[in-house]
Amino acid sequence: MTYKVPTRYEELTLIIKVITNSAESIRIQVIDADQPNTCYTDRSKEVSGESIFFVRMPVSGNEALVSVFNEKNGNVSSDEDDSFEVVSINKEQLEKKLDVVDLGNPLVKSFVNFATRFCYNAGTLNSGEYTSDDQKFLIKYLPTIEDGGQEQTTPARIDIDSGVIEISKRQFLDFSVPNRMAILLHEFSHVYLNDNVDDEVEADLNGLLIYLGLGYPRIEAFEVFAKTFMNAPTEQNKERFDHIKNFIDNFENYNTFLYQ
Amino acid sequence: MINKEKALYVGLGVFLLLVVLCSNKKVKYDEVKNVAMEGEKDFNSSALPKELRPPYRVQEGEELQLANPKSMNGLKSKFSR
Repeated sequence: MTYKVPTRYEELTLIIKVITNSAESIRIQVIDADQPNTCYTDRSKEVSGESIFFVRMPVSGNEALVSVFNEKNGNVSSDEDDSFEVVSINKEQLEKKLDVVDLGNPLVKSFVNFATRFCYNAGTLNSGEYTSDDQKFLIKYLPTIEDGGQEQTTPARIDIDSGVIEISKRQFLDFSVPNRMAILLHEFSHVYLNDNVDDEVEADLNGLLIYLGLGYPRIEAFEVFAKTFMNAPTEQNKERFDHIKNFIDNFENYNTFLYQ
Repeated sequence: MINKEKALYVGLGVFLLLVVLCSNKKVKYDEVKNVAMEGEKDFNSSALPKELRPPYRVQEGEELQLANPKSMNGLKSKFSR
């Protein structure tokens, strides 16, 4: 079943309360009602009894379509599926931790603005080159990222010398807006935040600090890194995922800076 | 005759009560039966607020004076190892 929720371009958290009679795999999809290929979340959870889904949306369109369905039955109307009930859908204020983001820095502010606009519109943008208003940042939105005619598994990469970011449109189309933002902030961190530009873990954590501070959902960060690492399951990526999980878990407990 | 000051406080109290009640009002959203139609609407990005509009697309042959990223690196990493 799908509900239309007016979001009016606001920052908000959707709180979706669901109840089931027995254990069911309930899936939540939130997409933009107007802009194609613009998804805010797509997740599922085993629900037995009552459960609440929190969908953090630092970015939203004018209206969102919220689909809630039992995975075994597919997305059918409420008349056709009595295995669960959507008790309520409410909008609440988005919780952010802007004190950790350093938005007072013009470089961070400019990139966050550029990346937000790019990620929200990536589903409808044509391939080409895009720049920030101050022309400090450039994104090459490529059909795919290739080296020597071979398509690469990475969804994005940054040139350490020029700061130019390349993005695979083929991969970005399948990503949610938060997925895209997590990837772009990681690339930004490599060149503009890291002490060691080659350190992937340092870029992961510097990027995640901004991502989580802006109020983006934790689950979407896990998801996009898991997807990316599945394409390249190396020991280094396994170690990266452990660091990411540890960092995200601790961020909620205000232990962000305890990382060694 | 009601004291003007008391009337002001009562008015203010009623106003605050209304604000609290309205902010907690639960809204029920309608189920959309024909979702396919929603995705077929034309999308016009010029209707978006400024902070969500697509970034500037560089034109064919247009030269940009991009700054060297090393000259902009005034930020401090919080996770150097």
